[in-house]
Amino acid sequence: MKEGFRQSMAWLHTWSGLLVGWVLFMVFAAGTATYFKDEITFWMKPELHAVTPNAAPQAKAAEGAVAFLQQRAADAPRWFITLPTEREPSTSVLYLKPPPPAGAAPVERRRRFDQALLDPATGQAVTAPRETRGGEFFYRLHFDLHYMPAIWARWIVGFCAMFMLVAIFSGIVTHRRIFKDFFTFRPKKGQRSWLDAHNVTAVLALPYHAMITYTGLVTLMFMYMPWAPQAAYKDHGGTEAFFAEAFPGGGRTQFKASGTKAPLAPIAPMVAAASSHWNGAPVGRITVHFPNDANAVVSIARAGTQRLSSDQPSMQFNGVTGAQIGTFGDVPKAAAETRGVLYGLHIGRFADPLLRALFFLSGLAGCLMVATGLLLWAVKERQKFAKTLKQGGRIGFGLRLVDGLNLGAIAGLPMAMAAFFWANRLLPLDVADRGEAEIGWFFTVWGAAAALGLLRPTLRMWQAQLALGALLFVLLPVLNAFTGPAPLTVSLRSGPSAVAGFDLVAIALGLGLAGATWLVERKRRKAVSRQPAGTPPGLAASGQGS
Amino acid sequence: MRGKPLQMRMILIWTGLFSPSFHEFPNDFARRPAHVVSASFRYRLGVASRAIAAIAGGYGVAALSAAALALCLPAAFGMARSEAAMTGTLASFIVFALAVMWVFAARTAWRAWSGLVIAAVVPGSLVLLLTRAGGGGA
Repeated sequence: MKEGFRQSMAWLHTWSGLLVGWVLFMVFAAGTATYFKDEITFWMKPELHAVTPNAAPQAKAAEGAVAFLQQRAADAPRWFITLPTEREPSTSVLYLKPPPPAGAAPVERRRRFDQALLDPATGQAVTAPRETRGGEFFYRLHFDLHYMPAIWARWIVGFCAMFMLVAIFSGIVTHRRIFKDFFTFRPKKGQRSWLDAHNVTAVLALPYHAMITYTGLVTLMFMYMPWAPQAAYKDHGGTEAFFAEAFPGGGRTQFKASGTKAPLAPIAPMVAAASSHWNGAPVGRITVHFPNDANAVVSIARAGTQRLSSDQPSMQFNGVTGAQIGTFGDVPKAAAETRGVLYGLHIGRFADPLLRALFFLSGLAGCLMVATGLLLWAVKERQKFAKTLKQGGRIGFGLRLVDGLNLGAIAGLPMAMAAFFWANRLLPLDVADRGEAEIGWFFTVWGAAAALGLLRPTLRMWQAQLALGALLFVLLPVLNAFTGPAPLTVSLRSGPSAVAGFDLVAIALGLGLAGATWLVERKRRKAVSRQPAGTPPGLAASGQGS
Repeated sequence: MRGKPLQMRMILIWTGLFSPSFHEFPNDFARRPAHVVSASFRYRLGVASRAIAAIAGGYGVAALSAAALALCLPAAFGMARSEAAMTGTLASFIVFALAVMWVFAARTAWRAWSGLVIAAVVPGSLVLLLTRAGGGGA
């Protein structure tokens, strides 16, 4: 297509990167936040900050959870119990509500579940926290988007991820001197500096970028690419048979309720049996299919922090007699285990705090890589209009559009994320559908930022949005001090450490955004001083732009 | 741009959106200065054709390679069926990315398409052969 292989790959890198860059920036930012999903959710429920759940052995916590669910949801078709971990000291119970009567309006998937947090020692619900989606919102946003059916969103995000994979591969090919580029930074040199910044953030965390993009596709691979199981199992029971073979113990379709009542067997012996089968490793999630039914089945999975793979070995017990039905995943198969490890790498549940922090930093580097790549395109493109601009002409429509979208995406998104946290603390507690109201604030702020960015993509606008974002982030600990029981002065000394961590990261992100504001200010000053007298500064800035 | 009819503007916007850096990258057509307008149109057509080849054709090649691996690996190496299907699916995304790179590295759009067709014929015939044979045997 072009003169040489590297030139054509540079072209491919530029265009595949630009066309999906804005979606990718959001996916990277929301996905990076998801590494601390539990901590974000905890921060957004200040009612829990003053409560310290009492630690208890796993069997006791499981018994307490079952007793609670028997009271609250004895007729639910399925219970999910997640036993306490170091990151989440309470027992978390989730249950599927009985299906609505035939003919009633269908219920949105998320609303069919109800949940509660329990004290492991007493089995009582801890103080009911405010209604919020918490960190779950960012997790869902990064592949389900919002305001649209999840299936469309997953195809859109998958399409963008595939572009990203192509951009990464072609980006590597483009760099003849990939090692040297990593040690090269030429500041204050316009396009060169943007290129160097793009190279540094991309190459620094390149293994991470390649890993996270590929493994992201792997998490939904049977939706994107169902053809291998379909072809192989065409005459062997269809894809259902494939999933049953590939993920033994994971399916739920094989369980059917009998309709006859039968008391549930005690849970503690099952937990003990499972743990001893795994040489004393802790138990993670307990699923009870059709509790109090004659066909009840209890499925117990090992805790997820033990290994790289996301597939955990599990055991099944008869829910009425308590007898062991089977063990699954003790001897993993090579390809299935490869997929499990790739999936596990993406979600990073195995990571201890330090490794988690490194994942978070790599994710931030990914955001910067996408952002600098988008800005680099605009800076390069602007040079083609240098002559036109000098003669008082205007830049092209494409560049103007990219300028506006860059502004709305890069400067607007941090502001919207901060606004989400502010809404969490400032909205009245009794607002109807409070979780969705917080999300409404996120999109209102982001939408406004994008609209303003498209209307006036000037350096002043960059500055205003970055500065507002910086302010909103830096002041989050102050907001927390006034609206919660654990201000930074307390949380730093006596915990909860998740709240202290959130506040400190908010300050760091705010300072980062303030630094970006300062860089724009310097650039704007230079642009104004270079402009002959009589030209309005705003116009000059927009001419020099981004 | 002022004064031009609406359709003309729309076309300019559309084309301007998708390949404004056209001049930076000379190609076969752009080297003929006498027919700049038609050359740029043909260039854009070439890019569009390659984009379709990359997205749809690349997906097709990846899907066929996934299915072919799922069917061949048990026959060739005695791999378990579920393992072969898993391997084929895991590999298909790399095949997809490489196919896209091939499409844009090829010298002309025709070469890009024909390369894809060749890359599809091998796994495609394997899939046909093995599903026929498997269907007959069952």
